[in-house]
Amino acid sequence: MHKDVLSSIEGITIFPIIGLIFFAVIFGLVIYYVVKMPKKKADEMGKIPLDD
Amino acid sequence: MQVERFSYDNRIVKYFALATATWGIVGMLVGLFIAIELFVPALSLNLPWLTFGRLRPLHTNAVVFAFVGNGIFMGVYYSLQRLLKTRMYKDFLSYTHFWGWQLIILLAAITLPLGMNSSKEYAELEWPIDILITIVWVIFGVNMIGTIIKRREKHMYVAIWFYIATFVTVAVLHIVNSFEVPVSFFKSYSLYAGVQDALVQWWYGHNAVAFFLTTPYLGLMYYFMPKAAGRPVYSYRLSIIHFWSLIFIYIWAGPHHLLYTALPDWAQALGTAFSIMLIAPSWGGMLNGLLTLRGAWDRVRDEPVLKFFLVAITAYGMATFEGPMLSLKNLSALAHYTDWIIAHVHIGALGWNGFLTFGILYYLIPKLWRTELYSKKLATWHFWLGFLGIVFYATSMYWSALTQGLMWKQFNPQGILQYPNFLETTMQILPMYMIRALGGTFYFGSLFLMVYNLYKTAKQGSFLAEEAAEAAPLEKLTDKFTRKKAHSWLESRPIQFTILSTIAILIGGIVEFVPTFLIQSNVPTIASVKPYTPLELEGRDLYIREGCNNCHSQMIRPFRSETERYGEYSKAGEFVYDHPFLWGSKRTGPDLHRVGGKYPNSWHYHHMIEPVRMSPGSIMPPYPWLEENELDLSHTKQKISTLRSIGVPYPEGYEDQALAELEKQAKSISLDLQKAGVAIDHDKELIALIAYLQRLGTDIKVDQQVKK
Repeated sequence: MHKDVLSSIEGITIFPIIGLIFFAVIFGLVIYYVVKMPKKKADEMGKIPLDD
Repeated sequence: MQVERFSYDNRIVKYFALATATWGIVGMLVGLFIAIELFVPALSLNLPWLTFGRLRPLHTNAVVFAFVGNGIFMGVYYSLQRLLKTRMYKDFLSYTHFWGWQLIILLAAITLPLGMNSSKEYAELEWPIDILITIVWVIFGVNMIGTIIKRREKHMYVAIWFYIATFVTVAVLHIVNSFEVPVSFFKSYSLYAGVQDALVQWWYGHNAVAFFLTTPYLGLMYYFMPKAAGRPVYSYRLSIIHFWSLIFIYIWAGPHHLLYTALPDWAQALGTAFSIMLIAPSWGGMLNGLLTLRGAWDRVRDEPVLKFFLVAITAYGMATFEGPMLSLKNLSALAHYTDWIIAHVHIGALGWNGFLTFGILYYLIPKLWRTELYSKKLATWHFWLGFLGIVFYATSMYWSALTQGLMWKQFNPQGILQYPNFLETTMQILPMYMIRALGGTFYFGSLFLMVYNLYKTAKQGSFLAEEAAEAAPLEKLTDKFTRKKAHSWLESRPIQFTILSTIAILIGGIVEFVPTFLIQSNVPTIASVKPYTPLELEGRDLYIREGCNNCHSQMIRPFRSETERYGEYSKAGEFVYDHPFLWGSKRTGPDLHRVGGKYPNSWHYHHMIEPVRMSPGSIMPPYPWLEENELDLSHTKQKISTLRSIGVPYPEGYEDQALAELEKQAKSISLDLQKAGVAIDHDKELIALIAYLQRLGTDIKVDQQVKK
């Protein structure tokens, strides 16, 4: 019954695929950035709350 | 460079702290009361506003929006000023926000027991209050973004990203889920119907947990944990990954609340897949919080603040592992509608939100009053008593869930349900309800140790309303955007940051929503499914007023154990005129979707007036006022025309004959009752409710009879 409802919408399967691609790309970019981040910089950022 | 002098506003933090403690006590007291009602139903004293159905929304709203809500603002107003080295943007906005939020809570505390509710879980408040919430939330947002813009610290620390995501997402969720059409000042109908309404509601419900109970508290964790431990967060890099993957993934997981329902398969599968993926960022965040204690674990022994934080973060880890597990279809099949869900949310509420809040309060009050905590010993007692409360609460609920869930599904060797009487499964778990209430009593009682301790702390110190501070003003931002420094560039640009995080949550929302909105025209209509008659419609509104959906589902899943017990499983096309949907999420009592025609009218009459008469041992409270109150017909016409305006096919001009038809149907029911020896006038509320119950799920039966 579920399938009947949605299979009538054209190209419906593209939606979850778009979603996964979006996520994978953004996740990849974030990981790349974080790995490249200098350690000194990360330590500085982490200390912000202790500095008041 | 010239250093600027300014002061932090501590008074607003104090206000929110007081509100947090006060509403915490109220919300948990109501919770304890309704927990006891489940094994002492007489506790409702035959009063409408003391029934479980009306008080359960008050409990959830009070704990989520009053206790945790004020806790969020307390922590945000304290940490934001210090992380950004500036005072809040405008004092006027801070205090308008404070009083506005308290007003909303007060209105909720009045309207919910009076039965004014939209029936949508965690969004029960009626439309005028929804508008007020929007206004106050925007005030909070303007104040926060304004503060960020006038900051003296170039970089926005990770806690602030979580605050921004919270503000943006809650705004989107609240607005989209609150589209409702007013009938009168106290009554509205959801713009969405049936499957679509359910999708929107659980997209909201799930993400309210994500962005009201989780992200702001993660922000608080990232600030207060390092403060209390006296060392920086374990890994700042991990926090970047934590933030982006969490806000991106969370928004997708909503459909896991609707597994095996009439929701489309692909949406269910999507919800499950993203729920499993959520384990990664959640546990990354949990480890980041716990490992902040590296090299300071010994301090946990004699520092109550760290004790509370440690258990809070562990509870976060437990709940975020359990959530994805529960979204697997095979586990959901057993756990859904049982106390498992109650256990799950209370690990989150009592452990994660409650204990983190207590830890922050124990940290803040001595700071604000410039003194030491009055008694660490008492705080440690609070910790252990509260912890014991959680243990009793959780174990009894898991036990109860497994027992009842398995009993519902048990067949005997002849292939017949082993426990065909629902009540038998309820009786089996009553001892667990008692143990749960005991756990709740411990947790609730322990609150007073905290209140006393903090009161004595404040008494021995002196409150510092204006805390002097100094910092160099922010230099003009000159760094160019480069690929290598993308995130650090972003961290110093709040507007761009806000826009990007909005996009991140909108992608998930839109991908989920386009099909949701397409669905309306794609739900197969069932020819025999007709709009409710005026009397049934009024009865349905009484069902909503009394909060019947808090204990009874109207969604039979396609399992043999359910179709044997309740009848034909529920079809998407059966709900096309249900504004709002009333599927429910918990079966404290049996499902009602096919209750129509199952019992005579007189059974319903006796059952509503005195449930134990028809079902000995029933834990449902009596509803004697339904027999006494006259049915209010002043909005019937308006209801018909309002529903027509949102797509229910009542013929043009039908509202003019609605009252006459209503009376006719009511009289036939009261006549039938008279024949069964029950004397009740046709103009009473109970007649309308019976009409609605007798209609439930019968439309497709008509279809089958015709075919035969």
